[in-house]
Amino acid sequence: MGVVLGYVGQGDEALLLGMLGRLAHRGGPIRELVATPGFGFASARRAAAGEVEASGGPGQSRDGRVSCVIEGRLLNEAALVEELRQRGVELREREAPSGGPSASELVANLVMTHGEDAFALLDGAFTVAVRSGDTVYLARDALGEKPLYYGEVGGTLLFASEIKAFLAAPGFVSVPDLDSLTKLLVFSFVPGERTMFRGVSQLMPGTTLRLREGRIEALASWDVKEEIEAHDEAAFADQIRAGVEAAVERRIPPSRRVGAFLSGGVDSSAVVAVLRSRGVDVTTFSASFGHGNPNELFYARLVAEHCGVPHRVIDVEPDDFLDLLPDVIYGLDDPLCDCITVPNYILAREAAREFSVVFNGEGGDPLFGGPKNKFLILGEWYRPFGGYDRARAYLSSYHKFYDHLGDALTPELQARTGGARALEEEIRGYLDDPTVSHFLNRLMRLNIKLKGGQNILVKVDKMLSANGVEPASPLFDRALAELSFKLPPALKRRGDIEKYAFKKAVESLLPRQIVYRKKAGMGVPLNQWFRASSLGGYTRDLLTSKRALERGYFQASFVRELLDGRGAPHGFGQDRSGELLWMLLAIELWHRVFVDGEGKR
Amino acid sequence: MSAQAPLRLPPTAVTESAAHLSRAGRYHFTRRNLYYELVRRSVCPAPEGQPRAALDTFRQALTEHERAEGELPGLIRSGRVMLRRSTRTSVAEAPPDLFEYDVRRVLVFDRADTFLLFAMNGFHRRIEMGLVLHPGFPAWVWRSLERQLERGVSASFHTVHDCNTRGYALRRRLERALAKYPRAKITTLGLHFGQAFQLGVPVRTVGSRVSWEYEPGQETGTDLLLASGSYAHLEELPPLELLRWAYARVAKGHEEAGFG
Repeated sequence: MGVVLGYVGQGDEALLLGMLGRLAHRGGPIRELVATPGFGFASARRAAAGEVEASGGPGQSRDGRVSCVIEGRLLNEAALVEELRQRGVELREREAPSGGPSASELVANLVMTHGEDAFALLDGAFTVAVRSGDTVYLARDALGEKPLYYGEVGGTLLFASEIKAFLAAPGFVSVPDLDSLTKLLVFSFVPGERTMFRGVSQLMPGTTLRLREGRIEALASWDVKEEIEAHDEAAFADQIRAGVEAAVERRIPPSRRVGAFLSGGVDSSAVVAVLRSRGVDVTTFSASFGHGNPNELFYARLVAEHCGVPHRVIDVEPDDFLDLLPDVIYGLDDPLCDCITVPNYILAREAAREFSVVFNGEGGDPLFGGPKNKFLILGEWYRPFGGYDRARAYLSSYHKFYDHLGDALTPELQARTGGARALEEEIRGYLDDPTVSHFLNRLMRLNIKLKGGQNILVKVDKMLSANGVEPASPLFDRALAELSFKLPPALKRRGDIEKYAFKKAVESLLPRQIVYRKKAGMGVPLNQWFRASSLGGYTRDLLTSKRALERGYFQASFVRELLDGRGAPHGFGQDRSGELLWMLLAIELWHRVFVDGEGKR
Repeated sequence: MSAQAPLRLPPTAVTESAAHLSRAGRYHFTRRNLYYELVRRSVCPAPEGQPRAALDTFRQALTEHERAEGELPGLIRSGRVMLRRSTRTSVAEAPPDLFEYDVRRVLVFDRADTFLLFAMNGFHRRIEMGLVLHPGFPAWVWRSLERQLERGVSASFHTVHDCNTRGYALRRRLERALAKYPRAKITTLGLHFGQAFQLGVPVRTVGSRVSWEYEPGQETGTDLLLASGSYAHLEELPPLELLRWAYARVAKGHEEAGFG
């Protein structure tokens, strides 16, 4: 966990320190900083065990022409060091007990020797900022485990690990981007480069930006490629098992003491089991949503007992978290309207009391053919009969506002944003992509690029960093992602068993009923909370307030129908009004925290 | 069967009915949906004892209406015509993995229009169920299901039909078709008389007619009603209500499909 930030244009050390101050929750006493007229950047991170506090300049290449700051970890550091050694570049050993070269010095020397090709060599969870002569590079890891944002403020380009750092810049004003609002309403997060903050963009996962002579260009970025290999089932299972073990191993901190979020599903359970098999001291954390609400705690407890690890169950109920909501929204920055952010935040807060690193099982579904893909496959089966458009079906399947935009948005907002047409075209590009021949792989690639790096991983990073905890998401590993696209789709989804090869890979680690049970999902009881807890009254007060109504976004009648428990009109299927209300609540709170300037508590 | 007098449909009533059924363009609806909506609005006479004649008369009037006023958006055109057209549409261009996946639950229809109503309104995408028109349509789906059953992977088939002798006979016809697959389980979703009464779907009479396929003696109350010529049509329910009814009956214990 750490911070990378900087400016290109007007700025100074005071600006950098102000921005670092805004991101103190994810920074630390180990700092690298340089501020010059026209350019400055900084990183900050926690000290490793035995490391003394230190502030200094950024990592430098041997010839002094390239400098770098980095946030996060490179997981192939040893191989990169050796690569440089083979080319005759020896790096300085640090004086800290951990020894070895600093990551920023390593990257600076890689850029010195490889030029722009260096960025494709980096593997891990990181963002880097590099200055090489008159060119600045910003790079983000392949899957998007670490976020990075950039935007122009008063003629100066700023970049930072979180948007809230920009609040330290004179002249920065939080103005909502209404096109992003439409995306947010459809997905519950904002996919693509734009964010909810007008003028602020996110660096896309796996992308490197080149900034030179006032121009910003994106260099070729990482992507999964479908290259199906012909191995048998057992061989693939072995490869996946080895890949998962390596991914976990590379993320274990020197202390070998970690927390782990445990839902009881096969993904998080497998991560816990592998950690334990490596002799890591693991304590698991699960959320409970109150007595009487369906949950998977039975399975989580089963896994904890099987692995012989402590298991802590943390209650998450509205009376406990209402006051926290502004903090959660502030922590998220760019809004993520998934109610799971609150349990994530609360679990992270608990875990932070004892652990600096917390593992999770995110990634198993998008990489290995998780559930929720088959309905679109069925859509294709019945395509000849009409009434079906792939892109629209995909967008509708998020069960958020896509099917309700006409009813929910005011005519003024609809006129200003142009609806969801642009989104449909963007999604169509993935689903119609002829370079990916298998339909399941097209869906998975879309979910990795969209949900993975722009929702799930960002949520994990922000909610844990807000509590001073480093996340570890081993199943969102680059090597595993590349392996997953070598698998025949029939091994991802064998008949009706989703994640078939992954389950084969881990079945010896866990009880059979954990591996092969039907996934139930984290059932946050939103409908019940809105109807029968303090969350309902709190939400009603906010959404019917003069301030909320004056924003002019949503039709008052539509909001009222939701608040009164009459559900969104025109639908058949599960009552999702709780999810819709949550989104409206999150959007209104985001405006209060950032646009109205109320900040967190 | 006596011919009915030609029917003229008031354009405004048709347009309003179509908008109501489609929920302002969100849903596809059948001609029967439209007919019964117009019956409810007292624009069309109720079928009385001759539903087939009444519906034929209505279809002719609808054709005339569309000739004069343009096609109604959202209307599912003749089920059989659409199915013939669709089978010419190849699934050969489909991605290679498309039929490698099993489906554990299937709705089976005996009428093309109701099959199309569910397919075009995306029911299968909401709750992940296959849709089949008996017998064996679409062929690519039916073949996939048979392969699955041959491999010993089970599937449950839920019949969806009108409440009449033909509808009640669907289950027996399906049992015969699937007799060789021990892993095929068959249940009836509806519509049966009890449901019709509960849902407020009018139970009408057509005079004493019993389908040669129906085997009386299984359910006494049903036998008496059928023998008296009683029937109820599923499509008296507007599309959204019909979909909600079916969804409620199959959703319990199953997660809704989607990425959200």
